[in-house]
Amino acid sequence: MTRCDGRKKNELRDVKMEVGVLKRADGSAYIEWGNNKIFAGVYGPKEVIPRFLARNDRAYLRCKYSMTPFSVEERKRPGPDRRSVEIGKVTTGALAPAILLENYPNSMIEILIDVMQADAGTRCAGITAATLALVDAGIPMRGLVSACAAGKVDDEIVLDLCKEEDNLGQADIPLAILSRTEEITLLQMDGIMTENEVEEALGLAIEGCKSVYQMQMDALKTKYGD
Amino acid sequence: MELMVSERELVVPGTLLAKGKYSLGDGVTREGNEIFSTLLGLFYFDEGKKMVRVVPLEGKYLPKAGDTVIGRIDKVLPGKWLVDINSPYLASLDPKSALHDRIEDLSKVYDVGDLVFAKIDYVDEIYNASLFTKSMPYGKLRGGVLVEIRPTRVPRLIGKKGSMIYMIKQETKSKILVGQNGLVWVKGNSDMEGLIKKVIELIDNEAHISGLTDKMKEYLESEMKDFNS
Repeated sequence: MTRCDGRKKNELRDVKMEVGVLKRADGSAYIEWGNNKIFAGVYGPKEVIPRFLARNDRAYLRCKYSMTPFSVEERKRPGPDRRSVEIGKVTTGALAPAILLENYPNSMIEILIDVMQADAGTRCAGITAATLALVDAGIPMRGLVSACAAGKVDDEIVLDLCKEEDNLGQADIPLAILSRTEEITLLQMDGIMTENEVEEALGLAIEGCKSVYQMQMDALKTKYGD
Repeated sequence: MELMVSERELVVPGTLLAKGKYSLGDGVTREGNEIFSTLLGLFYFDEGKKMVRVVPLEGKYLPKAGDTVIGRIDKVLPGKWLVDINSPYLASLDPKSALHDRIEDLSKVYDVGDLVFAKIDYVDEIYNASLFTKSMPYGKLRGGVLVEIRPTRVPRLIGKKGSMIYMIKQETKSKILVGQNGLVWVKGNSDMEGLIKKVIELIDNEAHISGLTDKMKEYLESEMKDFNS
């Protein structure tokens, strides 16, 4: 089978990552994943606003995902909508297990993910970039979180769906793992797949996450290595 | 018992550092028999204590008892001052640790926006720090300029036994106070202040280079020559 952009079924799109790109953020990263172009910025740990969200035993983590109006073909109405609130929430859930939140009681860590150009798989790319930004901010973590999607197109299980495949395909599974232990921190699915197909897709996605992890390491070493 | 990385190697969160019974320093965590890094930083091993630790390259300042810091008065409350010490947490300054006499209006001593040089007396489990400014050299900082660097680079600015900061003071004949929280206060003539600010920012950005003190000395000397001529 050939895919619409000529990739093999277990091949990722071209990924480029860069760490420390925003001057005013405590930590930041930029990722180009296929045609996705995404900035992630980390602010904090800082004072909790609003005050009542503060916890005495851990930091409060907030992720905000937003798409710029020009990021998609048809202009997107600016501001939060149902979809971006959901992605913000699942991103929080995907990153929280990796961060040692208990090291910073009574504080808040804010992660802002801004999509400059969208081309399917933005939540995975966003999580990958946000992890790099967290490391860049010097926030203690158990390990790096890497994310990648797998799905079903033309009755075939393939890795990392591009836009056409996502729109015309049968199913899509975004997955995020803590790369060191392979603990799954994000697992969503839309579309229909059989049990065996899900198993196969998960295996493929975990392999994808591992190659994403290697690229994350390379990006950090480029920034901080001698 | 074996170490998986070499001394001063760059590690990221989740890097496997060692296996076996080592004692844990900062920036590491143990899971079963394995020890992992939790920070982006450089790996260090202490032979004597058999201790593994990671010295971070980035990160915010966390108050620690005994540190000297530079803070900015954030709020004046009826019974105390709240001080911004460039950390996620505000520190508090009690009049008892700041003054010898009782004074009704605290803002006459330190007002909002004033810079203070202070020692951290005590920090509790959730990082509420209480400051001390009662004796010399602590107290209000008047004039001068404030330079902000990364708190993790402060040891580099001070140098081994204060070699770097002593060299800068000697060369420029200026007053410099370094807070462990990454704020540096400089007072001298205005040309000098600008030059010292530049040097401090250079050190912040090039902290990883070895032989930095000599390099900075050369740089300072060449810049000073321009001043004098």
